[in-house]
Amino acid sequence: MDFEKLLKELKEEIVAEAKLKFGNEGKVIVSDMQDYLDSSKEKLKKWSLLFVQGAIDKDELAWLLKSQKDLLTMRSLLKIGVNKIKLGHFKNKIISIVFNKLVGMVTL
Amino acid sequence: MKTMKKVKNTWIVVMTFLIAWSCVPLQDPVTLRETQETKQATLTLIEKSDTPFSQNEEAVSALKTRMENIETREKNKKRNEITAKMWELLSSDEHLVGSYLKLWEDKGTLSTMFIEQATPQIEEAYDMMLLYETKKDKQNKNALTEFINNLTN
Repeated sequence: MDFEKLLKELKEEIVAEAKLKFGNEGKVIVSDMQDYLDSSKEKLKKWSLLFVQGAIDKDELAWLLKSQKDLLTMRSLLKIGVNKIKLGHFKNKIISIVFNKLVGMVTL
Repeated sequence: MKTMKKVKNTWIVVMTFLIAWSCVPLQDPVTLRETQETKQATLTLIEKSDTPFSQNEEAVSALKTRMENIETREKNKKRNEITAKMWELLSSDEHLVGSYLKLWEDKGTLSTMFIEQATPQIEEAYDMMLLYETKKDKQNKNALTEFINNLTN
């Protein structure tokens, strides 16, 4: 099984499908899907091989592919959440600065 | 005296607004412990998914109930949308653990190779949730909260 060829074909098909269905807005979807394919390359390679060898069946392969997409979504959520926390800390810092400044002015 | 009271009240309003603006989600030790325990329970059950589903129905049902309870609790917390969404991704029938259990139920048993490949996927999802919970603040460290409390006492 030529996995590189399969991956290339998958990318081409996804690009064509996204362009057909979503026009210019499809670019975002294409980018997301390419990220998915690139970051999951090794796993996809292994799972495809196991499927071809008959070690896993079609439903199991489908679950693995879907789980990888869910993990990418979860990773995005984690990133957003951690950034929000950092932003919260930054806001706290600003408040402390404002507070100390005001208190300093009043007690002068 | 009246002016002082007015100034004090204005301070309270302004600071309350600023604190609300700056709030970050707080770490919940119960969530942290229960996520860890649920992760263990899930992995233990997944290990058994090469045996007939019918022999494990009770344990599956218990795990589902446990996950539903946590998800509901997390959804009811304020400033907790990310954790709630993560639990949804983990437990619903269309995603990760929920869909794994559904697949097991539909097929009766799952192949050893599949279990081997699926386990790290589910483990990774739990680890991300645990990591996010530990990133949250352990307590509201905002010094201004103390300030407001002193003013209102």
